[in-house]
Amino acid sequence: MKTDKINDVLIVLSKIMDEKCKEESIAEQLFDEFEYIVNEKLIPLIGKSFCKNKYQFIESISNLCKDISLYLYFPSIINTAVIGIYNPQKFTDKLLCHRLIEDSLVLDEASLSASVFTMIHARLNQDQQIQCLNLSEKNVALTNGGYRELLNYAKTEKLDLAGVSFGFSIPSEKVNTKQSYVVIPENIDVQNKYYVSMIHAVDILIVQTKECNIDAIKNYKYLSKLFLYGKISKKSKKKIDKYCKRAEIDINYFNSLSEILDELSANQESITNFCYKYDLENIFYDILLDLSVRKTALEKPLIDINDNLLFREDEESYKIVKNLQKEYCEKIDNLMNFYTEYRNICEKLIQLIEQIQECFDIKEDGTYINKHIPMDKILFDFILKSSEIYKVFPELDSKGKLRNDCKIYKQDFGKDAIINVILNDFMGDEQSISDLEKFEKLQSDSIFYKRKKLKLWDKLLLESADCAEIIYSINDSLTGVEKRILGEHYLKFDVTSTAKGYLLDALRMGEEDAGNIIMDSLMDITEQERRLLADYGVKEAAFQIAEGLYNG
Amino acid sequence: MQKIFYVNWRDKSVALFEDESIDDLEMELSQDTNKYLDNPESGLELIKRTLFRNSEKNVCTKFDTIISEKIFPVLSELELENELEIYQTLIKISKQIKEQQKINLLEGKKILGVGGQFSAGKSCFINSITNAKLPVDQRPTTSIATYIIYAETPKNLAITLYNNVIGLDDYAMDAITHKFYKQYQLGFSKLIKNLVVHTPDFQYPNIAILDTPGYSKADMPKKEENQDKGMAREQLKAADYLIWLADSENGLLVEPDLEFISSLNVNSEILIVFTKASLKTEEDLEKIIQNTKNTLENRNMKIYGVIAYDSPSKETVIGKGILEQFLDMINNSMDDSSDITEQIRNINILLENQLELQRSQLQDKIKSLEEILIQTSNIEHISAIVKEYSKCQSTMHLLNENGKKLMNNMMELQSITQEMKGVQQ
Repeated sequence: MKTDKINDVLIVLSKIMDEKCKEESIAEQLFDEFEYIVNEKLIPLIGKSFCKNKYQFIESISNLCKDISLYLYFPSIINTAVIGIYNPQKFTDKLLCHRLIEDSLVLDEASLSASVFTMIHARLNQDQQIQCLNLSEKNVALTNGGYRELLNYAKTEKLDLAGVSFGFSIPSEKVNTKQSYVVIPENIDVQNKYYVSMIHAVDILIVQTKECNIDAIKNYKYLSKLFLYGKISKKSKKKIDKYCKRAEIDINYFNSLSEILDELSANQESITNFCYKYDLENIFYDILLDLSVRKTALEKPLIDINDNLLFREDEESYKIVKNLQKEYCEKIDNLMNFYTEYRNICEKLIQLIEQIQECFDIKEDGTYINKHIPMDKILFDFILKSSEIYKVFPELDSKGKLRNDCKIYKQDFGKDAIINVILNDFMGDEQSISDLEKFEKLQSDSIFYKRKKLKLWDKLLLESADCAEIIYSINDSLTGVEKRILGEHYLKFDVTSTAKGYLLDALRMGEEDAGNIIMDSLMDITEQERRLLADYGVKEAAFQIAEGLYNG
Repeated sequence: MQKIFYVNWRDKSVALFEDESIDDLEMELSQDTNKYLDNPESGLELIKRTLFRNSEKNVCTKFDTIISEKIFPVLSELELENELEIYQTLIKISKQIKEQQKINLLEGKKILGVGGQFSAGKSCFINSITNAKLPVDQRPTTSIATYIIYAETPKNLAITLYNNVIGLDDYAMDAITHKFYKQYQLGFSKLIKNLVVHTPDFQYPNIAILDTPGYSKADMPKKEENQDKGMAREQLKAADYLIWLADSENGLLVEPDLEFISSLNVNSEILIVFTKASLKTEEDLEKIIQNTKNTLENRNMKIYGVIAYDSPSKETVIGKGILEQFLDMINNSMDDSSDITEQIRNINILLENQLELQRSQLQDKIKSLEEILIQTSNIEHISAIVKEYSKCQSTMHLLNENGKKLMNNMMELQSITQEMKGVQQ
């Protein structure tokens, strides 16, 4: 290779590998603050807490940060339909280059990287340059010539660009403003920090049928359409169709890639994708929901404790009950302190995310809602969680907030009757029979919805078999109440050993009624089980043991 | 950050830092030739070598799956006092496994991390205690975490982004750590995770000194500052022991240093070294050291000692002998805590002790409640105690169940690491 060419490549590489900090946009500065609060305040706070599923929470929030950063690094994909093209290079490169990138950039070969993703978006002005997101997470502008030199060298000398770049973005007059393309090479580094976020950003995926692998498609979390081209066997088609139906992905078959690109260029539908307020709040509320359960559990014994303190049975027991009172009050205080600190951090983060969105003229409300992620499910879960949390942690305007969220949901997704039931239950208002019927019939995978149904079982006129069916479908560890319901259900069908197992489990989880049910149901119980029941405070069991001892 | 000017030197655009004159540059670049800089093709070849990517599968997946899907959920149910410590150790082990190449190179050695702010004089200090020749003027952008270890034959190795180990001659080493950046403004810190310098002049065969990038610079924009901080923290977290350097010009250990040290969760005692001691009077240094000791004591930090050191003369000005004692102590330490299997065994012991402690505390509570329950004349009047008693029984049951699950998962983890060790051997 000629020395001047080598020098050119070195100049481009030195640009790409530049680690010096450049001036950041306001959105980037705000996001820096956002990430700083997440990493330095939120995660350490959660780490020190005893919250259920805290590690999943940390993972969710860290992944969300990466997803948001991707949009900030590649702002041209904001509010466009992101079309992913899985590119096994040798067959499709040429066609993609001619159809998507400007002629001045097209080389005989290697116009697109073979190891990192390339975003191709609409050219908004003539000054727009190719950008490379380097490993220091800085966007570096490249000239067309520099880009061509680099890609050419990488191809001929087998230089792996994944070691210097997370991805490229290319402006192109051939792409309309409502769409953007992301070319995913076969040899992409899946350890690339933004690989997962990039595939999360994809709305429509184009794959050659022989490259179509369901396990790989599963990683495209928010895929709404799958476009396949090329020949396909009946067996494979059946398999893919089945998966897509289950995953609610719209699948279309084409003869060629060219046909797909024609179809897409005729389609001018954009997708709102950069709204994260509700998504973020929904994640935050997982912790709040856990706190509300904990707080309720801590407050429950205080009723008995305060009641017992009135009797002052003897000094020793009085002292113990008094200590219990102190212990529970301290625990509640600690929980409330944690709640306040957590709530303040969350509020600050929500405020920041709103400011970041506003940098792109996005004000997340009823008319502007994320259409890329399953907002229907997210907002539905959020409303269900809020309605439980606000009961335990009432805020200044809990009712107003919940009403507003319900209004937004109805406006965007309908299902008025379902939302009315949740709202009326929270407000303590009377329920309409037709709303309740619709609520009962709703098909939803949401565990929060399922649990709400169980709570409203009497109003929904659910039989024990209906409740059992709901509980079986809950993909989460079961609560004491749920185990008790299952126990009662089995008892009805005389499957006593299974019933006993569930009821004992429920009792161990603090469901006092479960012990009484065992005693009342005339089940055969062993001496050891009777003792266990007595240990758990079941009066009848304790009485029977005492009676046995008394009678010798 | 220092300002950089670009000047034309023999038809090349070369970076000149604000504290350098064109004469310095002329002298430096002309003193010795470097094939990687003189011949751009060799330079590009060097970059290519560092970028080579294996298509190897991640051996760590199984380990990560067990900790994230089995251990962490049970761990968060148990509400153990040192849960966070256990979590952090497991994450640390997972990271160590991912850096298997590094482990192989450093096997059997205790890692002694050297940390401090950018201008604290880390490289100077390390050169003075190891007799190595690390470039002392590394800018944050060119700095790569470097291990210095004893070996009969000197050699330099680089562990790349893709965990490949490549050998570097002295010219390549010089180019990577220093001159490439000067000539092309091209830094390798993202391409090379670690450098391992083998030197016969370092007297402690069981120690690997870890030189880390500085973590903060006052005039740095937040993002870069956070990235550097994160990088230094990640590197230092892998260390078994820590020497923290502070510039004696600052007068005391500043608050960001104290916060940073705390965030490292170092289990062993730390040695604090005030550098550039020749710039202060002994009286001043004594005062600085005494103040520092008081501050650290108030914060309950485990400290081995605080000394004042002058790197150019290799002299401990205040606290003579402490540095040598510290190094001897590490070198002779029989502690095998850097071994992954050993670390998991230690977590097991920690978990067993914690579970046992919780069990016995709960058992005591149950007993005392039992006594009250037996003696009472009206159980209805102490219903709260009855309920507390049954709650304790329930907690005990969950503790036993989850404890069993956790210990089984830990055993699974242990067998995976042993399996991996077997494969490695």
